[in-house]
Amino acid sequence: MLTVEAATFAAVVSLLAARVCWRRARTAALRARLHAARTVLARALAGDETPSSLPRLPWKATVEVFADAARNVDVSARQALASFPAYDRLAARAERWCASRRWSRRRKGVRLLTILGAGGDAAARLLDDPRAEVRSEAAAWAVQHPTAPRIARLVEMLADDAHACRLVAQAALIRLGSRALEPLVRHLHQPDPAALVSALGVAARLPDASLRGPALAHRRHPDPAVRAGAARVLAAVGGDEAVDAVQQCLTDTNTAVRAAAAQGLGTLGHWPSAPSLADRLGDPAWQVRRAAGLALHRLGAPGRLYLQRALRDSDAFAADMAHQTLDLPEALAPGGETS
Amino acid sequence: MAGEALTSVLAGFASAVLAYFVVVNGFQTALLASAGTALWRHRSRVWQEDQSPLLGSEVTPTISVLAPAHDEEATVAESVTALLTLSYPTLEVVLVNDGSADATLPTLIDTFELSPIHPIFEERVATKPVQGLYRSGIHPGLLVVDKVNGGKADALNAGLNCATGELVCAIDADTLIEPDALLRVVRPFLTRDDVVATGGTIRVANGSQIRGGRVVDARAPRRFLAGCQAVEYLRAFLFGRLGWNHLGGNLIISGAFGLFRRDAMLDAGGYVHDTVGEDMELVADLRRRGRDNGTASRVEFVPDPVAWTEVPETLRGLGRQRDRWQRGLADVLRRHRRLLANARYRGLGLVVFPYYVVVELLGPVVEALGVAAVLVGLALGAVDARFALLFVAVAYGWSLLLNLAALLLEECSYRRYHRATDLLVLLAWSVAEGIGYRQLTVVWRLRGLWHYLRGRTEWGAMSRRGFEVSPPYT
Repeated sequence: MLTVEAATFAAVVSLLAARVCWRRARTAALRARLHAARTVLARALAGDETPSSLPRLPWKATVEVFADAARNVDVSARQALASFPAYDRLAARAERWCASRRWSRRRKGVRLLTILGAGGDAAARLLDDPRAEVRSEAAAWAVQHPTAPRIARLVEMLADDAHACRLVAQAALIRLGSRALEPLVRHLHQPDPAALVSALGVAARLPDASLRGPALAHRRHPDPAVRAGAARVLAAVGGDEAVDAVQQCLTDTNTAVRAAAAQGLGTLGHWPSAPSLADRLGDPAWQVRRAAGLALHRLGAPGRLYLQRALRDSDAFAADMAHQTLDLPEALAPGGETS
Repeated sequence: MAGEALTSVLAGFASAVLAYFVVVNGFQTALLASAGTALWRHRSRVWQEDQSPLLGSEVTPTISVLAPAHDEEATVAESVTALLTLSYPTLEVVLVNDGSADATLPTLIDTFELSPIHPIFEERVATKPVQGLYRSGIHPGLLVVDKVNGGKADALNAGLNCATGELVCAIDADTLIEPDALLRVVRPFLTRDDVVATGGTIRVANGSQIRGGRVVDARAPRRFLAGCQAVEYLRAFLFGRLGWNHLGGNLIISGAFGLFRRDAMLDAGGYVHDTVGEDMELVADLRRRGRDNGTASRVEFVPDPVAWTEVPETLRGLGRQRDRWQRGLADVLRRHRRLLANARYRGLGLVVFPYYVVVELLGPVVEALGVAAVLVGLALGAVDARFALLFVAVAYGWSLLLNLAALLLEECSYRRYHRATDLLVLLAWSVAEGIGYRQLTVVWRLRGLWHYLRGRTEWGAMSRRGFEVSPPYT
């Protein structure tokens, strides 16, 4: 037993020593070439039309220098990197990886294409990959290469079973902005509540009149999370019909819906809603009272008038919330609070 | 006749200790194998990962960092500045001044231009009275809570009430978090919706160069106790906690650096006051509740976010710390005893909890009894001296191999220590750790158990040397 231990000990120490020596030798050998490669790429990105050729580097180091260069510029500026043969070699390798049977390699492939700002159908196919890790990575790639079918696929991904995919799809669609509206509006007609909540979360950040209709249709949805999401969208979009609907949400049976409605009216700055919001200062739920108080504060003078009246309210909860809200410094009031 | 009976009892006990040794070390080796695989996968997952989209994303969860401070006048401004400059898009820093008797609050008011506010917060967890709240005029993300002294758990609970983030990051006042640690430790929350808490690696900062609340040059400690703890921390985090990710999940997220779902913490009633193991208690409670209610219950350890801490360098200070840790462990395991061997909790009940009871809680008792039995057995001739020596040598060798494996994992993965000399120093501490240091920790843990059984609940004073701070950048 001791002999086995001693042999293992010697092996581990040798491995450790060999690893350290190899790392030091490699670092020393690569340092100058890495520096030269970074300089060449920086010049190319700065607009040098006749950049020198890249020094020869191991492929991992090549990826590293291209990634460092590409991350600091937008997709169009990355085209300057495409003039280097090494770029084509990396892109070709990444495309091959995208077709690999190993999912971790497919993920690496699409990530590398995202870094390089390259890729085509091979990467797009991964939006339907069986592995969530690969799909979410492909979604990040699709933001850089948006086409109508890819955007539609991203919208579908809002209903993905995997949390990672839903989150990346949300972020991607928000970044795509108005280009995502049409498929998003279509998606808002689907029946699955979880997918609707996810889609309404995106819609609330892309305020557009085309979203008003679907959001109004969901304001009486049986699922409270959908109703709350619809209230947020309506408050973001605005308009008479939407404001009426949000005001109705103030008397919803669900706390989250009432709080979302109160917050939304404050964000809209809809001062005629001040009496309805003042009523909510006595709401049984603390979150709703807080949202109503902050919303009144955001309405400016009309809201503060109602808050001052509430100080003398027979309802101790309403009076307390009014007191706390009126104590808020001005800097915190409009847009300063977080929900 | 009596002598023969004693001899056979001792021989039987020696066999039991031997079996215990094989099981414990076998499990440690399984943890190492699990950690090696997990580390490999993790490296592949984060290969050329770009965190900048996360920085600009509107769907990134908001984080509130809770930092309790008590009499930290000398270091509080630098610590808060370091926290405010962490890379994270939606960051709120909630500093809780837990009844400091020194000038902690005036220092904060001067440095960060604090002005008193009366923000709206719901006291969902009862705490000692909050005397005032302050918002910074120059850093909108800084909130200072001034409250009556109530201890660390109470301070964290007060911060929890006032925080607004979806996730809260609990840290110790003397923890130095690496700038991108939050972006890394948040990953599991972005990929899975059943995650309730995550934790990162804690490393020993003693001997390293500190500047502006950051470790700018990581060095291996040169003093014996700190050096042994550096190896111990490497082993505990790099393969202990990481290994648990695939063997039933972690039961501990270090109080020095952990990220939690705020609503789950509030539902659990925050940190418990009447225990010295409040961080472990919270994690055990979150996991149990998650399982019971069918909500998020996964606790994940992430190896690459790093926080640095100063470890005690005196026998007295270290002894107190280990005594407290053992009391905390015993208390948490007693409070959650219904998890033990409970199939309803799957890996947590069938693997993790039994491991903590058998190895972490009872380990020092078995070791001490084993040593005593061997000594008596040797005196009575019931134990073969050559066998006893061989056993000690094998036990030491196995432990040394585990230390070296942790060093190898470190060298092949994150390499926080850049100099070869530091690796050599750590190698020396790995060899030395099993001679004297390990035995001392057994004594302190036994003392902790004894104190727990006698009902001792105080924390004990912690004395630290303080970081060797380098001059600031000019």
